[in-house]
Amino acid sequence: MRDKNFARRAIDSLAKYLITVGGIGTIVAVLLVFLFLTYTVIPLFKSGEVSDRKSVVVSNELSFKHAVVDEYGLLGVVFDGKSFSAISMFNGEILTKFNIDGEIIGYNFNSKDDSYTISDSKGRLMVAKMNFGKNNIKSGDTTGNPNYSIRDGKIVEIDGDAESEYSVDIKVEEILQKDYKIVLVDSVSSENSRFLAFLDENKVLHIDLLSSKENMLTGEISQTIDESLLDMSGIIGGSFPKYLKINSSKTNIMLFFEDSRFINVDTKNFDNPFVLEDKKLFNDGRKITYLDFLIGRNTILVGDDKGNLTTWWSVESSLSKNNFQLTNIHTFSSGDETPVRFIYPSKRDKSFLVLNESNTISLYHMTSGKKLFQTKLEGINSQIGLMNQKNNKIFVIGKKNIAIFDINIPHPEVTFKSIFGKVQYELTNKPEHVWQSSSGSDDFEPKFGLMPLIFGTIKGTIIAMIFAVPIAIMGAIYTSEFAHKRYRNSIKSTIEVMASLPSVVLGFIAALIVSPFVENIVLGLIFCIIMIPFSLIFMGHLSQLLPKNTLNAMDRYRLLGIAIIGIPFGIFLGMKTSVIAEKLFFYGDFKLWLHTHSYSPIGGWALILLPAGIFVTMFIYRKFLYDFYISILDGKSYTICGLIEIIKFFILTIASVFVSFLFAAILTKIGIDLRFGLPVIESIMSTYVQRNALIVGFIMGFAVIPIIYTVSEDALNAVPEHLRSASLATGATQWQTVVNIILPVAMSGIFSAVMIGFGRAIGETMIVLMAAGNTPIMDMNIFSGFRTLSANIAVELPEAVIGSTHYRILYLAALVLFVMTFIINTIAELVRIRYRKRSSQL
Amino acid sequence: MEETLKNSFDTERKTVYDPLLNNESMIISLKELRLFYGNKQALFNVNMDIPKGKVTALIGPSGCGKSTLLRCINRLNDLLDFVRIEGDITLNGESIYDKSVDLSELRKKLGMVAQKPNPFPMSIYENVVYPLKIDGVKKKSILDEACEKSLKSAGLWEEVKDRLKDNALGLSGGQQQRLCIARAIAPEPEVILMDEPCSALDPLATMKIEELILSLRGDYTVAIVTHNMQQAARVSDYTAFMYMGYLVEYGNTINIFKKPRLKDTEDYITGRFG
Ligand SMILES: Nc1ncnc2c1ncn2[C@@H]1O[C@H](COP(=O)(O)OP(=O)(O)OP(=O)(O)O)[C@@H](O)[C@H]1O
Ligand SMILES: [Mg+2]
Repeated sequence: MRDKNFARRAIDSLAKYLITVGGIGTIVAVLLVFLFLTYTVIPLFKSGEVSDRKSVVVSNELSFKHAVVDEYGLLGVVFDGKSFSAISMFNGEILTKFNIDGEIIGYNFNSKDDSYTISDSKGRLMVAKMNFGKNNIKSGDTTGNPNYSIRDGKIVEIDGDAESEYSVDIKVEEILQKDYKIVLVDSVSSENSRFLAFLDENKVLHIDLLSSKENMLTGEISQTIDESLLDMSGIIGGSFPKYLKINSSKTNIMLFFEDSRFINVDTKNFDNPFVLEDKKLFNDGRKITYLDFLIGRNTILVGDDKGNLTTWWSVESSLSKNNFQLTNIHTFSSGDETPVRFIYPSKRDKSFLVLNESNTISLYHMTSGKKLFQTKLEGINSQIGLMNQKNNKIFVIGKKNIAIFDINIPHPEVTFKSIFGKVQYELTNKPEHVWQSSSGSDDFEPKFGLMPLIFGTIKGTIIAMIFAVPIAIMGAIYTSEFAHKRYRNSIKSTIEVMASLPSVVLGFIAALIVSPFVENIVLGLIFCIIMIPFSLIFMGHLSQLLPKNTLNAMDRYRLLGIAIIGIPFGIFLGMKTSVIAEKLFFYGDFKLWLHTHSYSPIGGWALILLPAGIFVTMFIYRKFLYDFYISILDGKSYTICGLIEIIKFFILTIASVFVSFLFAAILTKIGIDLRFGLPVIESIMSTYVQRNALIVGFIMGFAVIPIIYTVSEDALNAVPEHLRSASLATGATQWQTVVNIILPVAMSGIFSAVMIGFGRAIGETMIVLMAAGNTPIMDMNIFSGFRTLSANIAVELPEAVIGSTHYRILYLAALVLFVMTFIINTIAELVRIRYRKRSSQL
Repeated sequence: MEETLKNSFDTERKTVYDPLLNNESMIISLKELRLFYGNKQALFNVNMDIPKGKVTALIGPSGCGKSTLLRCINRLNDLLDFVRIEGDITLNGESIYDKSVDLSELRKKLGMVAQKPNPFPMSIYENVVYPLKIDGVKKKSILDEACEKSLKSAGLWEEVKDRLKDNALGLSGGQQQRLCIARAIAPEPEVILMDEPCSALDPLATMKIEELILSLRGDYTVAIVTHNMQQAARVSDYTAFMYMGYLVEYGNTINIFKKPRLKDTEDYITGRFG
């Protein structure tokens, strides 16, 4: 007896222990996932680190206009207007010097290939190219703590056993020789051509295209020069512009004056350049003190004498199309109101350094508008600030010393707002939500706005739910309340088998079978969706005309019979009516109508608003006409009543269609079009894409039907039998019992079934991946594709570099998804708990 | 004792009827009613007429088929797929098992009160007017009036008139049962079928319901199943004794209780049975 008790207790406590461990384990696992995601995401929002200032005292005084530093931040080249000098950045010593004979007047730095385009007083145009190099002399174990020294004009790095040399080779090439003075010059080079623009002393703008061609046979290189001229002396007047810049696409040559005057020359037509714009950038008398391009030659960074930095690019005017105007986009104020002395754009991303007269150095990221770093330097007579290509060192070079900061800001482009808010990206004319993580071009700026993905997720889910919820719930009602008990279990297990269909198979079916099939019969399909319920209800009405005996004898097979006849008839009707409707309301071609904005949107509106039309009609009928209708039926025979019912059904149908057309006409009259320009959702029906939301929603609906069905069937079955028979005993029909008693009691269970389905649809990946076209757009158009958070993670995570912004943002996407499903499941669970409490009272 | 009863039945299978029954006009007639739960027969050739405007009690040991018989009358047994019914029942001379019978129309004529209170999980008011609303009655004045009237008949009005909008599940068991009675009589059915309406109630509540049954007499036909002999004696005009699916003896309540014709009936009534 004792032994037995002991064994029982042991088993008891073991079971308890196991259950506890299992339960806590689950919670811990979920928490760990959450923590891991958060841990990966958090660095995105950290501001980064900047080391304390390191000062290097320079023996020889430095004085110059521009400088460039190598990738590693060891070797720099400074340009003082006469010569280029290579200096070591860690002690300021001059390593080599390259003198240019003659007085240099115009120069422009090209950060793409570390070259300067320069012009001298003798009419020479030259390109000075800095070729930085690293030479591994000895390889071996490194300590990570290198020692630097200078040898033969090179920097030698000794790190443990390894030894490397850093050097720069300065090559100056003369490209043109003119016999007049060239005041301003800029050039953009591509593989075997160079686009040059320069302004001579007579204010004539020269636009030259130098192209070199290699003779295949002789290997000789021949050069051709095309030139077009634009005499600007009349336009420019007395003063001289201070800056001349060519934009990246070589379509505009921009001249800037100190007093903020700006002249834009359009060179789209090379032989016929003309002045496009001539205006003042600042209306309040501010002067331009420094100006440069941001990386990519698209954005102009303007420093003024009040210490502000403004960014500018050409934006299509809101008033007239094709009229581009240089427009101020951002303004950065450092708080230091002394003039901007120097601007240095990063070679890596859209950030830039600004140096003020009173030695404030600021680092900003343009797109995110984030201030990454700012400090006021003491004890330095700063001239320029620069960064190496890795963006991990800032140098401020003064006359006698150099200040160095080691910086580590891994995600300068990320702010909470840049991810979830609208961002105005370069060259766009308004802030937008964009997701575009990669592109073919080099100086592409990744756009990490999660909103399109969240939007896509919600779009896919909503459409899936619109399909799945009615079908699943109706199915559950049928099996639990109407189907013969004998078949109930087999129906249920069949549908549950459906759940085990891998979603990749569904995706495959959607993408390769359904999409091409639907493409040709879109409108027909939509009409089928409308006509099948219509036909079912119609068949229901018709069945009332059958003799009562037959009807009662049919009993529960009645619904089955209605379905078997009604569904094919509905499809037939749908196909037939769609052809007529296409002729009447969609100008004979539905797909053309979708993207032809000159066609009236009324047909589409009516289609979309049909549910609203039905609802309003039914409401009016129920509220005002029901009693009248009942009074008509009074005293009539059963068959006559059935006939009257059918007539009523047709009248209500026509009235519903009429009401929806009424709504449609009102909206059309107001000028709201469902095909474009709707706020937030953009459109409801627009240009047709083969792999679209409607199909994905439909197929995804199939993926979630089983779970919704099963859970709601259970909820319906859980309704106590005595309520069912109590209701039937009062004379209620089965349907009345379902609507008035069963559904309200099971409602919370059904609700949580829907929520579970919702959670499943939100996380669904494969179907969307395969069939949704994966376009991250913010458009509710049911005929366009979309991209969901989960599909996006699946597509992009493998190609994201670990630790990169992209990588972390994908984790953020995962976190957002996690939070979304978590919230939905929590709501579902809360409702279910409430539902359990309520049903335990029954 | 049980042995003998069974034996005598297996041989005779004849119900003993009270000639007094012949003076009554009948509303419901059960004719050779046989019912099978799958393979198991639960009712054997029951022939029974229920007099109009009278209270008829059904008594008998547990499992003898009283509830089954009652549920046959409003065809609630149809809900079970495995039930097979033979024979016929007529209401006012018309067969209720005819194919052309509209079930909901039929059930509207037959109010039912179950053994266990089964109010709907909605307000008291909604519970009472549910049968009317189902029938398409929309006018609030009619509904209000019907609600008050039925609740008054069920003796519940005074207790709930200030909280008609409260959930019915908040009522006590006895109140719930009276609410179910109110619901059953709200659409003014012809017959009220009660299956042990007082089984879960205290003596006071039982008394109230008995009073109610007595007051219904005349206007309504009542068929009531009960295990309480005193109750049957107090409320009913006629009593039917059932055993093992057979109707054994059926007659005037006074006769059945004072001088039962069969010894088995007497044994059951006096508690010497089983
Ligand atoms: N749903 C059912 N399925 C199978 N057999 C049933 C079912 N309901 C009742 N029975 C059987 O039919 C017989 C009669 O049952 P019934 O419920 O009518 O008895 P009763 O006289 O009402 O008993 P009680 O006084 O205990 O309520 C019993 O033997 C019972 O086992
Ligand atoms: Mg019973």
